[in-house]
Amino acid sequence: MLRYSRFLNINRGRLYLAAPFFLFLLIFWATPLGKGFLLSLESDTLWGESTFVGFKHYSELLQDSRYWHSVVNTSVFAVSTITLSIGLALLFAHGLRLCSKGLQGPLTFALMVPGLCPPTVLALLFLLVFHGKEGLLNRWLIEPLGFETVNWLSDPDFIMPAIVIQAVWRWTGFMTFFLLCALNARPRDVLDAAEIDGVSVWQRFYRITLPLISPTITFCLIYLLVDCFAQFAGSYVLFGGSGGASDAGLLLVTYAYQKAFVGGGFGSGAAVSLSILPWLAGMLVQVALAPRYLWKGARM
Amino acid sequence: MHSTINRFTMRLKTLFLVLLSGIATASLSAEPVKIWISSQQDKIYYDNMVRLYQQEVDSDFEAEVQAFGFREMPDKLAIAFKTQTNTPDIIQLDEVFFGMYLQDETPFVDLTERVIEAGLKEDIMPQRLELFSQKGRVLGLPQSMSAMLIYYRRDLFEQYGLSPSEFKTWDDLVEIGEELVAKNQSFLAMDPSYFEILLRQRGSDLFSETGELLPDFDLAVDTLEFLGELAQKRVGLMPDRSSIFDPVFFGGDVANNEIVAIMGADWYGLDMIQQFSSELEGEWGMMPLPVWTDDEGNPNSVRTSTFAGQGLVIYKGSQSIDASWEFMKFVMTNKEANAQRFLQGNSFPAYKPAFEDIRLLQPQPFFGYDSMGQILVDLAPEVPRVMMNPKRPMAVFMIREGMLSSIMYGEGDARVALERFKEQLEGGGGPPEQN
Repeated sequence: MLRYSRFLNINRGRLYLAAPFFLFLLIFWATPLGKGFLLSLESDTLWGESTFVGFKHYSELLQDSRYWHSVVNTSVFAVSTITLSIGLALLFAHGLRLCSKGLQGPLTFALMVPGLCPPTVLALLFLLVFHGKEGLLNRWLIEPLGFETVNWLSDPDFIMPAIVIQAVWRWTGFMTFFLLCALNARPRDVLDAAEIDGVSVWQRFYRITLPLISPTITFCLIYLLVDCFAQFAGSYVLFGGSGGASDAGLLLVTYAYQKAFVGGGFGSGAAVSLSILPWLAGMLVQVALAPRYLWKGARM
Repeated sequence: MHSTINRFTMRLKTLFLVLLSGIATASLSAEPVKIWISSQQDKIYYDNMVRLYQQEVDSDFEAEVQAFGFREMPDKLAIAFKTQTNTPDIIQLDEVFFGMYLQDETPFVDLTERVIEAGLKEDIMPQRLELFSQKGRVLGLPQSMSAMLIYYRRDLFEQYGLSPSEFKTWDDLVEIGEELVAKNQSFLAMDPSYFEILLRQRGSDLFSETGELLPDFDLAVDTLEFLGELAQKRVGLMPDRSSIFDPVFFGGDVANNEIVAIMGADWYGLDMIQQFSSELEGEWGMMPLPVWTDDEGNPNSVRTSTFAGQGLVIYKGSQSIDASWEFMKFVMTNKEANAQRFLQGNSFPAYKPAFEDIRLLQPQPFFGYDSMGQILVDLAPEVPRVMMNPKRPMAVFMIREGMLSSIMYGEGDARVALERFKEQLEGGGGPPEQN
């Protein structure tokens, strides 16, 4: 170990200090991941000895229409949730900046409360919000606007909007807080100079503010993306582990659950879980690289 | 001197071994039988049964009863079996989830010999005993008869001038239902499980004995179309969350008198209706299902069907198989145990000698002094078989969530939906094939 530390030119003391972290990483992250991968190569024997089946489960997934349906659903869910959450958060953050300092704190905290609640509790709350004719959303919004009531949790056309609304409601407050911090941290002189030079409000927002807060936006995007791909508790409470009518809300993690716990195939379930990695990695790379291309030449 | 020391050492070793084996025996015998139950309501019953067993059979018997949520328990069980850690001895498992363990080698003890020896082969309804069997081997004991009835609202029947005797056939039900719709009243609460229930009532099933999915495909299409029409005509009403097994259904659709009747098994009435609509005590009544008719209008089906229901199984890796079996046998055969299962709002037993217990046959105030026991005893010979299959849990799951709901929301037709269902279950969407 010490020989390696010399080779990597790492200070020995730092290595000792970092060792517990890497040990925990190995035990609690790498080991389960490795075990999960090995499980995905095993037969779907629920009890007794499993046999090695190689990449059979992965190749079966490629032929599985429900798997592809869940991939599309998860992507739609992630893109919708992220777009709405970040968009609303930007709007709220700007709105909060206009509030007095005394109001800013309580309002920000109030917005953050949904993100602090356990997802299962939130989902139970949303059962009341989305509940058929008696639900809050129908009573307080849909009916007063003169529309016909919507069965949010049973009508295939409204299942995806329902889970997106739930996720947006949960995370918008948190994202607002991050973006508010980023907005407050903008260098005042740059904005003042732009104003003196007569740069329009939109140009100042797009050319100066957005590039300045883009690292925070990237963080928010990654945070939300990972959460969307790992979304389970909320949809489990709303749909009992299914994807709802016509699989309209079938997400990748829900499908992994179904494979393992309803179909009795732990190997197949592990394969679905691990198949999320390339999708997620691909989207994360795009998110991380996006600011570079969006504001090419702008100060980052 | 040397030999004295040797002898002393030998004695010491012997004493140590005796002590060690004594401790091991004591620790083994002290290990309580672990019983996993899938509802809190049933836990109370099983705690009482452990006490009763201690009083009547074995005062040294120790058991630890753990309750989990209905959906949570099979998840925990699958993990326990897969990891071989913290496994229970006795498991109360719903027949729908039981199918999951019929792939490859089953983790449950073959009880065939014990069942024959105890005379249970004759005493338990054969349709129900078959439910927890595989390839002629009995793997579990059924806890309930699980016969389907129609629970109707007496007050609403009176309000609309209806009588249970009018509902002889499903055509009668549709006709009367349409009259009620004209008065802005739906008749029957709908649930996706009705597809399987009606299919079984008509003599078919989700699987054939050889494992073929939807063996009578045309009958399945006809049944699904019938249910779709019920919903489209508003004779049937889909609950807000598409399930009659949801407490919210009772607080909403039932409490608001949006439906007049619900189709459910004995356990549904004893447990869910009594628990979640306690304010309607005395307002419920029961009747057998209407029958199906042929083209000439002659009845060609039984008056009941079946769906779900719990059973008890013993884990193969259990260290207390004999003790577990003796307790299980007691719960299934003891007169008091059977009566309490019914009286405490659990289920009506499938154990035939219990049918003679007066406590099971007496009129029940909650159901307007109808005798559920008497109706069920009359229907017992008509309860159809359930064809068990490893793919059944996924099939039931997919029906619940994907197929019937979509037909009711006007998405596609029944034949296409069932073809898609078949394709998905037989292909990648269902549980994996045996490796």
